[in-house]
This record gives sequence, C-alpha cells and structure tokens, in this order.
Amino acid sequence: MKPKFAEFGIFRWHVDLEELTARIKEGWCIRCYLVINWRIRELVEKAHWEIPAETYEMLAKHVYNYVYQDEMPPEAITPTVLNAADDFMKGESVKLRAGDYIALQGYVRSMRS
Amino acid sequence: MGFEGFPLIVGWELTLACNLRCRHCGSSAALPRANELNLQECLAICDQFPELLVQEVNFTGGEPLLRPDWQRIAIHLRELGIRTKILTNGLVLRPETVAQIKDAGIAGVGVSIDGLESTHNTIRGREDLFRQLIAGIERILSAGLPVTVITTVNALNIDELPTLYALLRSVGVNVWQVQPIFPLGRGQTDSELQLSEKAYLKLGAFVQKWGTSVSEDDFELMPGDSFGYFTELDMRDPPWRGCSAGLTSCDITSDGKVKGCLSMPDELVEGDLRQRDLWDIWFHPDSFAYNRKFCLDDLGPLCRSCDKAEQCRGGCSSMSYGATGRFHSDPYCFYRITGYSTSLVENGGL
Repeated sequence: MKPKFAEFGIFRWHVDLEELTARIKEGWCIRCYLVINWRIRELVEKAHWEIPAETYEMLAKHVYNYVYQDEMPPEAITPTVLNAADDFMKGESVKLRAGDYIALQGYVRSMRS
Repeated sequence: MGFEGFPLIVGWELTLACNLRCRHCGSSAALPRANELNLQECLAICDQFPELLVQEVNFTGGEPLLRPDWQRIAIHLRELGIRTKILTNGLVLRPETVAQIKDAGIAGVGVSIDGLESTHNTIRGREDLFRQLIAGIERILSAGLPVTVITTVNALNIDELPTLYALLRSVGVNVWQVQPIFPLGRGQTDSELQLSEKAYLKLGAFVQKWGTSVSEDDFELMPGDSFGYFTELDMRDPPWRGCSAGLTSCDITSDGKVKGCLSMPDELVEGDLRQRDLWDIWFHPDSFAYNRKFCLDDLGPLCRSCDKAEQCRGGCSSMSYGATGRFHSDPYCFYRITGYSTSLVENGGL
C-alpha cells in the first residue's frame, strides 16, 4: 500500500506533467559507479549527460502518476521511480544511479518490443 | 547487481581498407573486410548510442576516409549530439577532404607520423608520403581543426623523437601522443621494429622529460595506450587504473562485431551488431569478462607478484594478449622492468 504524502505532513504542491518532465530533463544527473578495482566500487562520473527523450518522459509520467495519482509504477522500475519521486518531493534535481537508469532504459526498451 | 558502466567512448573501424601497408599495422589493414556494414546499418548503429550514453566516437580503420559515406555517418552522429574524431594516415588530406571534415563537425583529427621523413616513408612504404602528410596537417590546422599527431614508437624511430618534437612545433601541432608498437598484425612479424625493454624505458624517459618541460608552453605530449606504469616515468594524473575495455569503452569492427578494443584479435569478439543490438551485447553478463570479472587469480606470470596488480589489472589488455597470448600479463611495464621501484634513482637510474 503506497503511503500518502499527506500522512507525513508533506505539502503536496502541484506541477503539471509538462513542468515535471522539464524539471527532470533539465535537472537530472547520473551517478555512475564502475568496478575499476577488485572489490572496490568507485565513483568515477557524475555528469549531466543527455538521455533519450522517451526515457525521461517515461520517468516523468510514472513519477507524476505516483505523486499525484497514487499509482504505483511497474515493478521493473519501482525503485527508480520512487527514488526520483523522493528527489522531486524534496525539491532537488533528480539523481539517477547508473543502475536506476539501466532499469529504466531496459523498461523503455521492453515497451518498444 | 549487473554491470553498471557505459561505453562512453566508442572506437569504430569504418573500413579495413587502407591505401598504405604500414609495417607496424596491428590490424594488418589492406583490403576491406568481406561484408562491411552498409550506410543504413551504420546509421542504425549510431541510433543505438544515445541510450548507452556514448559521448565520443573515434573513426579509425583501415583508413576511414576511404569510406565514401564517412561524412554521412559523422553528420548523423553530430545530429545525435555525439562528438566525433577521425584517425587518419593523412594520405588523402586534400583541400576538399579537409573541407568535408570541417563541414561534418569533426571535433579532432588524429594523424600518424612515425618518425622523420626517411623513417616515416620507410615504415609506411611510400617515398613521397611525409611531405604530403605535413601539407595535409597544415591544411587541417589552417581550417581551425585540432590536430593530434600520433607516433607509434619502435626501434627505428625512438632516437628521432627529440627532432620530431621540434618539427611538430614548427608545423604548429600542439598535441602529440606517443605509444609503443604493439606486437599484433604486421607489427608482430617485423622483428626490426620491436622495442627492447631498454628502448621502452628510453621512451618513458623522453615523455617524462619533454612532457613536463613543455606542458607550460601550450603543447601537450601525452602517452597513449600501453605506456606505464607506477614509476616516475609515468606521472599521469589520475594514475593508471587499468584497461578500460568493456568498462568505459568498446570498439566496433567494419563488419559490425563488438570488441573491447580494436587492437585485440578477432577471436575476442563479444557480439555481432547484425544479430543483437549494442545494449544487449554491452550488458550481457558474460561480456568483457576479462575486465569485468577480473580477480587476482587471473594475473599472468609477469604481473602475479606485483603489489600494484589490484589497481592495474595487468596493464594494457591488447598489449598483454598480443605479446603473451593471455590477459593481465603486460610485458611493457616500467614498474616491473625496473624491479618494482617507483623511483628510478633508487633503482640506479636508466
């Protein structure tokens, strides 16, 4: 059961889907961890790279539906959408771990086929 | 958890056709491969890059400028927001070609020079080549395009490096990449070109001396692949952290095969882009296992006792494979050659 933001006393301001999509597009970054050394994970990149439009539009749609429509995202991308929604609700730019992005893009690819 | 990296840099052999038969060529380039990708296939591959966060594509070959549609591919990459560079032997850098390079938005041109005039022409097998090459470089510079000269250092040219440096400065080149010859392709069979350990250290000393002394003068002398590691001859920043093949880069052959590095032999293909797309090849759990699943037990005899092995993973994968037939055992390593001392002074100098 998805918790209601109101239950935690969080002010639920409203933006429309278009603005939310623009926020994700303009503000996102990816945190890429690579296995460079044996058993050591190292933060090697944190950059504002372009991601395909259909990807951030898909993310924005599910964040919007989760935050405003109380709709859970598809299972394959649930952690990704919840992480992004958390950033959004805190007023921060959306940060995608590389794994989040891979899951999201994998989902987009599965929708194509 | 699966692998979480991206092929930020892609090397792309546009064709294996070449108008030269260079003695050191690791690809043994000459004729095109039997079934090279057509333009539509190339453009479709380009379209796969954005979702993999590819930042840069480097055209190579063979001689990439021999492919008549190279500019169409470059323009498509530019439209996708991907930076593209070209590595050429310089033989076809005519005015119209330089104009095409500029029009296509190429971000940089790498040109091979392998010694002073006589040596370069000997290695490349053409008596008139060097002067054409210098004229081509001057045309690129005049067009406002960045040029990187790449020198494959071998036994014939190592003593010419200081003079070559002066020549490059006089032409107006300000980025120079030097790298040792790889024992691959024709470079494997030409014994006259092979670098001894002593000559390899000499290359290191040259980069150490000139790389430091000229860096303040808007000239960059940088080591290329298989140069290092962990001594005062290799003070790159950040320090060497191992081969990037399959971690942050991959390469594509002209018939659509994906490898960690084009210098690797064709038996090390990870997948075929005519059968699977790049995303599936890149993220397949068994892909690029030599780097992604590396553990210390994989080290070869040359690297097994090294205290830097965890960080280094056995040097350059292609050099190691070409020289020893296995990964993680790179013979071209300053640290090993000098007895695992970071200071050559402690080690008695060169």
